[in-house]
Amino acid sequence: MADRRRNNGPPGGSKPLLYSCMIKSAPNKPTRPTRTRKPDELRKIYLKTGITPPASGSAYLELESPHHSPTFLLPSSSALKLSVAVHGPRPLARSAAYSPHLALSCYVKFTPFATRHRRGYLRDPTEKDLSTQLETALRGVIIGERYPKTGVDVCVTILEGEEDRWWAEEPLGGAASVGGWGLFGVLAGCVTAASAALVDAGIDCIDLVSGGVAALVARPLGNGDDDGKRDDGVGGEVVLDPNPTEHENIVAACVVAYVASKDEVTLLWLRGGSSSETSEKLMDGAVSAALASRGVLEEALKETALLKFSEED
Amino acid sequence: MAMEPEDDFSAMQKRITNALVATTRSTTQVCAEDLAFYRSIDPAIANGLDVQHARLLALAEKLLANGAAGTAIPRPKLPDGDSLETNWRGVVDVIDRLLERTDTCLDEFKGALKKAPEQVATSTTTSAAPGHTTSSTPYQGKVPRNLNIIKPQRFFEEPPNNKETGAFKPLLTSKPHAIVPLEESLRHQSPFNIQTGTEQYEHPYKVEIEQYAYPSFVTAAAEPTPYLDYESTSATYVDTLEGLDEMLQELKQAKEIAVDLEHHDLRSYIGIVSLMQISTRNKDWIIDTLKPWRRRLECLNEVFADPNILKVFQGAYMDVIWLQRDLGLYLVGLFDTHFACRALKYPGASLQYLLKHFCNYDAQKQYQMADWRIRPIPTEMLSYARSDTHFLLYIYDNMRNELLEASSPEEDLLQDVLQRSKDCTLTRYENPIYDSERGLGANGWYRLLQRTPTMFTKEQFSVYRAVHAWRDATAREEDDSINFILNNHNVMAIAREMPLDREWMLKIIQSVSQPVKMRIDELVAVVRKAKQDAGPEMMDVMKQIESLDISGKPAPSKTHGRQAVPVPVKETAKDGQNQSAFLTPPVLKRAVERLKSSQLWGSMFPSKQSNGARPVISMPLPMPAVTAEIFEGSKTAPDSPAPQVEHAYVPAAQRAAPQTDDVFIIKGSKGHKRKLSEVQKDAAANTPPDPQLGGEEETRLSKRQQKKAERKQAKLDKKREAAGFSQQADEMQLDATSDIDDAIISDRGVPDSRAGSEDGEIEDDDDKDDEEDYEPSLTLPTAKGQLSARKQAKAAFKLAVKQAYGRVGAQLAALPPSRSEEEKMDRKLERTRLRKEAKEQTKLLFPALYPPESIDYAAQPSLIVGTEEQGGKRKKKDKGGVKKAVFDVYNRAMDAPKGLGRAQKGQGKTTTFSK
Repeated sequence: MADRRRNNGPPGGSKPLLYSCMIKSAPNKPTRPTRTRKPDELRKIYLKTGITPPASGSAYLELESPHHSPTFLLPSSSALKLSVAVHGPRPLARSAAYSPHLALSCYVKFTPFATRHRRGYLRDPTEKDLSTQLETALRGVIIGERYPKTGVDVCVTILEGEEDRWWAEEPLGGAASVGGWGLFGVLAGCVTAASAALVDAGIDCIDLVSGGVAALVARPLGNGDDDGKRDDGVGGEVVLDPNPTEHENIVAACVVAYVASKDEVTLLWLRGGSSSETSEKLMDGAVSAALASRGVLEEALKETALLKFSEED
Repeated sequence: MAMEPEDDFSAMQKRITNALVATTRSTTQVCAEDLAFYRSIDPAIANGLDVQHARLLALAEKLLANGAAGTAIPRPKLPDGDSLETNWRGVVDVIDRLLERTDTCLDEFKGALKKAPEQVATSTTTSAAPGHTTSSTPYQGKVPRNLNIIKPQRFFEEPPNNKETGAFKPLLTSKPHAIVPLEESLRHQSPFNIQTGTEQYEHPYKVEIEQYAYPSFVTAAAEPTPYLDYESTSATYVDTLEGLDEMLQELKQAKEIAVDLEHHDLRSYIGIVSLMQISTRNKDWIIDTLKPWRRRLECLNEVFADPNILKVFQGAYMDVIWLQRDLGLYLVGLFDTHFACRALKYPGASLQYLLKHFCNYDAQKQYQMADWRIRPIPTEMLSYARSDTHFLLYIYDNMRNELLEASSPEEDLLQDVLQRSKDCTLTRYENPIYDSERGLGANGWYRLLQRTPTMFTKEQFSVYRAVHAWRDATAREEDDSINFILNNHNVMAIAREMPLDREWMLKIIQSVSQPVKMRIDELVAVVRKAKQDAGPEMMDVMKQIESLDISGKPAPSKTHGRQAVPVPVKETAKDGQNQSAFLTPPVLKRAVERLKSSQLWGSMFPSKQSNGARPVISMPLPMPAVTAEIFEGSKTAPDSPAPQVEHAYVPAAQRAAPQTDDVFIIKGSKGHKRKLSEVQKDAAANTPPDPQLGGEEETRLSKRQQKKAERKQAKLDKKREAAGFSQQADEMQLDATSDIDDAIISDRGVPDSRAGSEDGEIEDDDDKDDEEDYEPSLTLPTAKGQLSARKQAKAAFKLAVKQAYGRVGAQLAALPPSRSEEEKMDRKLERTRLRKEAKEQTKLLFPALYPPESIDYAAQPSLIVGTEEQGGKRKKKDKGGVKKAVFDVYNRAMDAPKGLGRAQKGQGKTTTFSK
């Protein structure tokens, strides 16, 4: 479907040409950002509710931006930034069929500038997929029975997405398996922020739901020697909250939406796990990442509640 | 002899077919003729036809009556030829029913005819034929599971009684190897059964088993005795009393015997032991327990209860119950290899596993579920039956040795197995009693419902219980298992659908069983009745039963969700099982830090720590809260000696009369200056004003008075202009901005306007009087408790303003007395300015009256939710003839013109709407 509402640029976009020899022969050769965090350490999270006043509930989530060298204008990697607005609960259109439960619709949209590859204005299949996944994750916590004939829209705008791979790798070829790994982090962020926004909107939920990612990182290609990396016995190292730019060879990743009080997973997306052992390790890792991000979620909501109720005093 | 009925049948069939063919042929012939023509030609033929017609009709009627006999179907009457047409439905009903019954009968016999033709033929004669011949089986490769054969229990000397309501009385007639004699052990009755409320008989061999010590050869290791070759030996089939005697004598010589049973429970309510296999070290017996004299097998107690003979079973739990239920046999001295498997932690605990493990023999386990009521038993099944016990003693030898080997002084595995086996023999059979009220018991309705996650409505629940009870009653009557009658799935389906007629019912039930087919109308009636008198709600009953669930099992916990309490790592490690990893909620290992500032927002939204620190809102001036203390102070002021307090001057002539002060009216905003006397007049003209309605009433008053006031002011202005006191007009304007001012000016307006000639000193002198005069007007209504907080605040404000004015007066008085006219003018201006300032400052002290430009939305009159007062007011207005459209949020939906489609109403796009 063509976008006829706007004057769009050429579909491929135009980027300054970057030849591999330029990178190789550059005086300051760009170096891959390295993970300085511990394997089970998450990036810091900025989470704030009530950022979008017209919405009945909203939240803004940002991940810690990596330190980047002043040599290049390009940041070595991006930091996830997204904003969630929850509209509703509001009555469904009269023409809509009767629904005894809350009709939840999620819209995840990347801004055109969110990633290095320009995104369109219309929702592409990736975004639709993310929307569906987010909906699945949230459905598990919302008490839908309390809202018959009611609709709630959860709109996620991703201002800055996660990179799928390091930018300098693109012209070099790099690992054969290209990414989509960035989507994992995005989805986890969406879940956490959406949960905060739902609470901000005052929609009845059984509990908070938080997202967490874990990835299995194999040894870099062509680097057979032991480079000090831990091996978890599943062909690589399990890291929590991976920044895909920092790892050359992500083998598998898993994102979960986790409801801590019920010890329940409402969404599980696993890619690349070949053995059950790997999958199990990844799932455990993702759950513990989700548990950690729940801490921030709780703190942010506590703050919101304090503000709200002190206003009412 | 056996073939006779078959000959009969074929002869009869031939006869009937011939007759039918002949009749049909002649009918066709007759119909082919032009009967109407012949009838008109020849009256004799017409007469004959009529006679035959009547005869045929009568015959048909008779036949139909015969066919309808014994059913609820009304027999159709056929008085004339036309009635055949009109009553055709009735005829069809009868014929349908006949065909149905034929079908049922055919079904009943077809199974037998198809699967065991010989068996049907011989079943009547087997009892006469002694000995046993293994027939070459007709079930090649197929295992018969559920045969439609005549129920063997019908021929038992003591057929099973399925309607037993009391306790199960042990079948023992004699008690071999007794320590406690039989009479005494039958007299012993255990306390009431909590579930049924009936008394129970104790286990007749209770004392013997409890006191039992296993013989020494059980507890000592010995070289396993090899079993005899399976292929070359064969079993002895025991189906006569003589054979039984022989076997018993041989068994008495044995030290150990292996026993197994085959049981059938589909076509019997309580189940029947169909076969018993016993093996010694060198012989196998297979005992037919379906003989009418099966109770005589009780003589086996001489072996089974013999403490010196070890009985080896594999999985004896149910066998113990079956033996006592059907044959009155009890075990003293049991070794159950199943417990041994568990103790030795074998990967499997089935006989199949043991046979493979110890003897490398593949058991034909497909025969386990076979229908063991077939007689004669096919060779394959006999072979399987024999294999159940043939190797068991050898297996026992091995396991005993292994147990002894694996035992340690702390943990005697063999003793453990023996103790468990002993406990197993102490289990007792109890009559199944149906509990329709609470549905308890293994076959009660409660258990089924508890296991199935269904939520029934009142009617469905009632139907469910009724159908469940009906199934049990039918099963007892027909002597079939409840699952044969109607399986659980079908019971649930019926409860869900609640079919009210036969066709519907047949559609719902999958694979209708014979008894249900016969009683389908009965079942429909049960459903209908239950649906009509629906009882209590399902959840109520379930909860009630759950609370008194006394089945021994702990009530299922309601909360499945575990709390996310961090579980100590120790506990998870202790379990050591794979499952525990999943069952333990994950524990937060490393908390993630919260980012304090955003890249996008910067520090626009500073993150506040949740330590309860609130934002401090600063104000330009400190505002004391309006509390009771303020009014307390103003009230007590006159009582306490406070000479410093100074008041503005009011000439005595203008003072309000003290007695009028109890009516206190405060004007609405932007009101105009009024005289007190006018207010009084208004108050007298109107009904006494409700203090609650202060604001409203007052605006109304002020509106009415507005013109008057304006006129007056115009007059005053003119006067002032004439006098050349333009400054005075300024002051008036200022005053007009505030209602409070009005209250004051109405007291002092006239003197002020004349004040040009007066002196400040005189004002000062009268301060004391003022105070005394004004106080009652403020305190009296307060004492009556009629003033609202706002009024009080206003009054306090008034006082404060007056005090401030007094201070201004004092300041001016401190100046040297003016001499010239200019000086007087200057002082006048100065006084005005100072007063203005003082008043503005006083205003700030009364945030309740002058909120710093904020609107209290909650206090604003709402469009949607009118207050009580407003409502009353509106009513009054309505009486006056002013009709106002009342805003109703719910009215919107009704605004749309009637007769429009929903979509049109919703969108308002129609031409009707726009025009």
